[in-house]
Amino acid sequence: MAELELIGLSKRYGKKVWGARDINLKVNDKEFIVFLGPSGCGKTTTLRMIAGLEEVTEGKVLLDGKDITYLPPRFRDVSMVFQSYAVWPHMTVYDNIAFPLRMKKIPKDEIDKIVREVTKLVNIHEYIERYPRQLSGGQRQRVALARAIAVKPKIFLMDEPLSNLDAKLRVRMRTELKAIHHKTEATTIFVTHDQSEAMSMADRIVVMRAGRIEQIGTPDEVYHNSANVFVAGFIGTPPTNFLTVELKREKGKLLLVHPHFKIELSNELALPLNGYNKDKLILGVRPENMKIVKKDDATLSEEVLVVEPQGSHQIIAIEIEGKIIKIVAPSFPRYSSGETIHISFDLKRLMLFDIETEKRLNPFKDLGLDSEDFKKQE
Amino acid sequence: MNRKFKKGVTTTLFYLVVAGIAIVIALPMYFLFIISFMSDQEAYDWPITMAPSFANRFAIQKSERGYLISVYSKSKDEFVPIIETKNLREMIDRVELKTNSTISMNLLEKRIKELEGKLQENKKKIDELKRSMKPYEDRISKLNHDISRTLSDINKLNEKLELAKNAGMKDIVEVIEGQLKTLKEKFELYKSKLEEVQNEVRHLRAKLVPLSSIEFTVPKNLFANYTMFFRVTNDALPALTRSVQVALLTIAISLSIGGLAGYAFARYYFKGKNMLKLSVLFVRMFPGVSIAMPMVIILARMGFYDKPLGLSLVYSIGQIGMTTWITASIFMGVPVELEEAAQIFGCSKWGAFFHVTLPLALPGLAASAMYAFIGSWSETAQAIILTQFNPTFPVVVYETLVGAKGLINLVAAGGVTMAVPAIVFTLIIRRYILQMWGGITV
Repeated sequence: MAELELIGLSKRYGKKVWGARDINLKVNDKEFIVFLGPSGCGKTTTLRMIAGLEEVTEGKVLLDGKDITYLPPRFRDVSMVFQSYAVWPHMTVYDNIAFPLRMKKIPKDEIDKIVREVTKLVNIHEYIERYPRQLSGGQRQRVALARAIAVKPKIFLMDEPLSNLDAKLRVRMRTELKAIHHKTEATTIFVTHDQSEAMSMADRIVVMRAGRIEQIGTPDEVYHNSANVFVAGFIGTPPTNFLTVELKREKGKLLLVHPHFKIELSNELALPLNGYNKDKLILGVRPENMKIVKKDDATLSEEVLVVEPQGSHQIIAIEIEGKIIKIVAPSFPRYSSGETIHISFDLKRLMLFDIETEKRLNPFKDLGLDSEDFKKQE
Repeated sequence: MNRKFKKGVTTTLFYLVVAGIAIVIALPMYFLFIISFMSDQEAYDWPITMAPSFANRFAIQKSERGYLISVYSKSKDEFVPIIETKNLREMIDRVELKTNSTISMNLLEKRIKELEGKLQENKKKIDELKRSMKPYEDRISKLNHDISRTLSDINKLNEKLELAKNAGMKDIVEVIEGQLKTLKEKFELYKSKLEEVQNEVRHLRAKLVPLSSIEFTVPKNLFANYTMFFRVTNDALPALTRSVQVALLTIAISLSIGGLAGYAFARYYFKGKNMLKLSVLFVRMFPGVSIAMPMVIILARMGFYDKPLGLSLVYSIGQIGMTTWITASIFMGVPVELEEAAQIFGCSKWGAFFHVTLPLALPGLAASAMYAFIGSWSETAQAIILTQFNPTFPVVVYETLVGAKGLINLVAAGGVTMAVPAIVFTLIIRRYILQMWGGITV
């Protein structure tokens, strides 16, 4: 029912500082979009421009085809959950939720019905007569959520709603938020700097940096098919390993040459490099795309620097040319520092980036998620 | 051990200082309060009593010029004469003025009748006592005569001594000094004798008094000073209402202008913000009196001279700065997100301010309202200059103090009257200040 479109949306502070620049995005109905990026990347600014709290410098905001760029917030049919919850401390939980409805001049008994409904939905119906100061942080967050749900907005805006909660509660609220989204089916824009939050909740992720969109895609797309070095490095823990390699042609074959190893590229991988005429590029390998193998199959042999056991798996760090490379390996066998391990790369999942623009050279046509390895077991 | 001792000493000192401060603040207030309930006679007694009496004890005696009425003084432990007259009406009025007790004509006549009866009854004893007092009285007058003569002799000798010293005649100086010494000894002797005799007389008189006088007690009108204050200063009541008007207008003006300025300082950024914020305070650095002089002209031209509105305008000049500072910090304490949330959920900018920010800032606004109230309520210097026929209450109290009507117990009554509205207002406001919703922190 609600489609949001941002066209060339820009925000300039003062004369030179751009908070957000040329944001183009189409949000589909019922979609859960996450704005992800480091702090100061413009994600909150963009959200506030959608809410109407920030004046737009350039561009348009369209909601269901209607231009709302210069409409005051209250006429926009959006609701927002703030990082600091922003529940009104001088009102009870009930009044906090009922206040927006009263402003809409909804009849009293209907307000009562809605309030009871949403408080039950977010599980705070026991605290309805309390003041916010008598509630814990998590409960206040729920009040803010209930307030946002109660007005039945076209678009739900959430500005890092979970970042003030403690780690355990954050994970629980994440699940609950997603469940609530399933129930309400409201179009949602969620801002966060926590990539695991983004990965776990989003239908699509918008990765931002320095006021610009770096990539828009499903969590799988941004993870496996990162559009540039920044996205590949920002998403995933531990992050993608980057190595600068030389590109060489030998006997009609393309070779990636590094002082410590040499990789021969298959035709499939070599194809996108046809037009590439620089002699260096950046090789990106995700930690789980490196395997520890027998000596004969190894591309690279190196001494283990540190091992970080994680229970379900272990993270092995090696050092190449002063760079720390991390590998995710199964928990067993255990390796220890100083031991030499032999590593091979999953050639299908190598990411190649332009040395100068840092743009992806070999975007996958499909993620290969349909391959036999990823089929569900019947 | 040593440490414990040290701690004990510091704690004791601390509490001594605290108690000292409390006394320094409380004692004047206490005395103002009790003096406002004291009669003229009590208030000017020394040392002053710690509490006002609730009744007066009178003694009435017959004298040559009619009757002598005296009132008991606690601090002197004796009866102090008030008036000696034949005219009973005059006596009653005078007693009322002096002691705040109203003796009814009936009672007075009854007591005088009793006195006459008593005198008749004890006539013999009284005459005897008076006769025995006679020689003492003669001695007293003789001794007084001697003393004054000795004194004049001493003075003469002193002059001579001075002359001799200047002339450098040593022998004469010595002679005169010897004479002086004997004279001084004589003087001391007379004095001690006089005291002795006087004591004797006092003793006899004490015997005489119960025989020749009637004592009776009349309740005191505690609030006589207050009624008197309003009666003496015929302008007090309208002045009180004027003062309330001025205070409320000052609150309204300084809170509306200062509050909005404070909001702007808290929420918006603009060039020269800090300088402007500081300069708002500069106004307060000028003495009110110095501002008041030119204000007379300005207000007169505006037609506000000698009117509550004019006075409140002048008071607001100083208060606005203070209110701006207080409210700015209060508004800063209200997170801007709360307002933004209100804007998203159906409020306009003004609506958000009235529905969210204002109720949250109310305690701070109440505090600055209190500040403005007290500032304008007790201000005197500017009010004296800026009013003529319509003074405010502090001016009236001030005039009571310095004017011909200057009686400290009346002034005290005026002062307490002035304090009451301020205290009441503060108590009302206090409820708002304390009734915070667990602070504004979110």
